[in-house]
Amino acid sequence: MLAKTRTRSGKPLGYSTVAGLVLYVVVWVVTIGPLIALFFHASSRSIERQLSRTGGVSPLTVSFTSSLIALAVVVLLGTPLAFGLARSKFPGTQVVRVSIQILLVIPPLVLGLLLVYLLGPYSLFGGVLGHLHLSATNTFFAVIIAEIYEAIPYYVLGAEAGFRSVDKSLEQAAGLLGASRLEVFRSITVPLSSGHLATALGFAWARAMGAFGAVIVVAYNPHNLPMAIYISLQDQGLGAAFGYAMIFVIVSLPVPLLAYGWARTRSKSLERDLGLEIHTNVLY
Amino acid sequence: MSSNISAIKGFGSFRRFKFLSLSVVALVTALAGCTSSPTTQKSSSSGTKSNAHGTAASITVHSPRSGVADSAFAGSLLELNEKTLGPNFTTSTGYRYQGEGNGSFAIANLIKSGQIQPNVFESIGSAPIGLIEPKFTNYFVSIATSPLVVAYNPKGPFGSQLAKIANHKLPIANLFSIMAQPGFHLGRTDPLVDPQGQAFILMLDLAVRNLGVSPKEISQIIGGSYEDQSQLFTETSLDSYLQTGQLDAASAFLSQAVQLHLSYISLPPEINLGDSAMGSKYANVSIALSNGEKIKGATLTVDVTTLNYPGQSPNDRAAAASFLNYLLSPTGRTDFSRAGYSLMTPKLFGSRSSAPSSVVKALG
Repeated sequence: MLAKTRTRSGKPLGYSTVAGLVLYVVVWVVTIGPLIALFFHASSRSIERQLSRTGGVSPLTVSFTSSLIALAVVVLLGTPLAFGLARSKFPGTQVVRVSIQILLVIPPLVLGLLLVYLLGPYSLFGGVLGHLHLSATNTFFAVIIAEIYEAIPYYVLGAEAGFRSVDKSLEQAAGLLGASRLEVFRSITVPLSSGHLATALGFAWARAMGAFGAVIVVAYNPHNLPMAIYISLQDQGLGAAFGYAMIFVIVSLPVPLLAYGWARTRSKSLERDLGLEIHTNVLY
Repeated sequence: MSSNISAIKGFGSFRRFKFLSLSVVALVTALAGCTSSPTTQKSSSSGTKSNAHGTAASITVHSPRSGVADSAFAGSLLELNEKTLGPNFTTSTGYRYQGEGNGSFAIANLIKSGQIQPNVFESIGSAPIGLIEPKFTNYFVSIATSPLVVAYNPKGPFGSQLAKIANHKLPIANLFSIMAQPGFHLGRTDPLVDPQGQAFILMLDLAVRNLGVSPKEISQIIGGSYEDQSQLFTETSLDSYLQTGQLDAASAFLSQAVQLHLSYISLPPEINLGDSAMGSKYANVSIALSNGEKIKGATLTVDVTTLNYPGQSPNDRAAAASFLNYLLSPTGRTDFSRAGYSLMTPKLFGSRSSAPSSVVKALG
């Protein structure tokens, strides 16, 4: 039977290939097991029930808008930081990198507890915010702050890897041709690392949307989607929680998937185009 | 991923990377050990540990028996269960113990949906137990009461005044006028999902009835609504905010305040919901929540039941009954008392025939 099954190149499939494929499928099914369970246990009616409740759409709106704002801040602050990490030879860079990695490994709940010290109503920054009629406790602003802290390491470390992957000689060549640093960054560095940047952005989005550990400490209200899942579980039970969980998956998953898909397409087209660019530059 | 790889290359040798990995793992472990999860917290004990109060010294140590008392308990009982009751129970009976803390209603919902299968349920108030009757149990035993207090920040701008109330140098009515002041940062738990959050609102209503506090002040205290967004926290973060000095006061059970060494103001029995003799007085107040539920005032009791499942091992069933018996024993009651709970004469509610015979016998 096996000998009759052939690959595209016409070679018969060996036992090891079949075993590898089976193992691949098994590992894949085990890995996405929780997601399969969710699709089996959540119904479209539970989604409808949650969204039709008074204020039922609010967690979705809160998560979506706060994550968008958080992501904008993450990109604005994280891009120069990541570029600095990738290019700087200053010995202190390593300290900055380790501190970002600590943000990544620190349990989000601990991060939330530390944010209480930093931004609580009677803290130094909390006092400043108070003068500006802002509060980083139980407000939409607090949700954004918590999401930024949970998401930023994913973006910075991913973007740094992207900037590192860019061939420096191309940047140098553009500089020699008279391009300013900003122009080099905009027209060489960013396009060549765009695949990495898109993936990093996708992860940061997923992290911001899924932010829970820090959010539960500093922003019990207004509920974002993970908080709504937690509260529904306590208040109404598993069925209700799964309703919001399905909404969460539907809303948050497309962005990382699209980013990943775009990154792959982009890297393939760059591989193709880059050769032409190099030849053009050399000829010029 | 690629940043990790470059980091490895940067360090140059596998030994150094291994050292780095171990350091990161150690750091994460240390950080994780600094806190507890807001959702479910699990632990187990199987040795012969003594408790913080040294009561184990007076307990006869039994050799290990097969069977596990697997208790799901209200979050406020976490410290008592994990540090005292669990280890002492294991020492005195030989049964293993494992515990899991969460909101009482959340536990009931998790049991109902089959997500967890504890064989003991320790709840604050009997309403959560009612959610899982009659499928998993048909009875419960009230063993102690959990009075409500107001924990406060002694270093905050209102700290000195609150300390005077705690030391009875100012009347208790002043507490309400201070809490009603603009700029006072009050924290409480969500009445929609937490019995303590409900109890705090009921306590305020009782203060209007029994202490002559004005309804206007109460409205100012709660920010106009039971579910005022700026005042609500989870129990874990509420304690953290108070301990870091970021709130002026917060609702708390006496047991929490004692165990976490918080400064607190004791409330009179007619409003603290912790006096079993005042149940009828408490029943005069009620609150209507936004989910349509109506909560009637009642004494805040620690209610315990054992749970049954099809195919449950007889050893585990025996261990569960033994755990409840331990809670009813003089040693167990001392543990509760030391942790800040008010002892009451244990009373069985529901079907006596459903309770383990040893428990019925212990209750007399």
